[in-house]
Amino acid sequence: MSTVILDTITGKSTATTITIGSTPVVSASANSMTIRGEGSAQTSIQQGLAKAWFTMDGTGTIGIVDSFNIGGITDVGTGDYQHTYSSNLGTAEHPIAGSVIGSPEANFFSFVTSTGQAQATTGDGFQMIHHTGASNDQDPIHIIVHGDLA
Amino acid sequence: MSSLKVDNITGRGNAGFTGSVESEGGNTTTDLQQGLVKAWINLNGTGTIASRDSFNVSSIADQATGDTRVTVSSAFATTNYCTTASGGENADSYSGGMRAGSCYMVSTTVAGVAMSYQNGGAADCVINCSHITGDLA
Repeated sequence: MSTVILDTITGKSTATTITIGSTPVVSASANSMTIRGEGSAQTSIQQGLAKAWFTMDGTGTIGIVDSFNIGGITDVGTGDYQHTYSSNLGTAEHPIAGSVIGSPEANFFSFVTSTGQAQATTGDGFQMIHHTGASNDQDPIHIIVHGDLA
Repeated sequence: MSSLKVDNITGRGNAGFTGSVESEGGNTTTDLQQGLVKAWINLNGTGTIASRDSFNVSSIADQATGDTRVTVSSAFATTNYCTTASGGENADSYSGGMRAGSCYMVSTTVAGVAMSYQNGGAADCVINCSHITGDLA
């Protein structure tokens, strides 16, 4: 086991590029790092990383089962929830998707949609609605967030 | 401040880094490239549709009510990519009922996202979010 301790690694031939094993990694500017994808194209590591995700139990006293970058969740009403981020997003217009895959409910379909609350860099709201149009509590609820961190 | 200038970093006992990183639990590895989302977009699907923010998206097209096509800048290797979508309103989401997203593949560069009400009717959504994972070309 050998270890090199240092502060900065710079490409020798091209300052912004190093190859690790057989995979080129490029950092052409500050806060930007790309990696070669499955084929020959480069893809951004920062842009491709989920910035937050969580699985929660939305029934009874709600609770987070597991999460990343989530400061907290709030039970606003039946099927109506809000969450905050530990590290805020850079813009309010970040993409969010959710599902209730794993729910034991067998007689109706539920989906994640918006609550009427505008998106914010500090947190968002979402709502569970089943096919009859009424809101309902669900367990589990999965949410994933991408976008730019502040 | 110490700096190292190299072109290649290779593991001593094997090929070294091949795109995998150690897991949070430390008991396995996970593939870095496979775990990255390759494209995402938050768009307004009402009226003249418009992107609010995106990654690896070159354009969007309004196919029909609730039906949007997203063209990526860097193409996928196959049409076997995975698109997930959620949508809703800034205003009362009960207006007209819930919105659900269904996705379809058009080509290696174009993904389709169709938003609908619970009754099956097509719905333009103020908030239309899509994430695409899969293999880049």
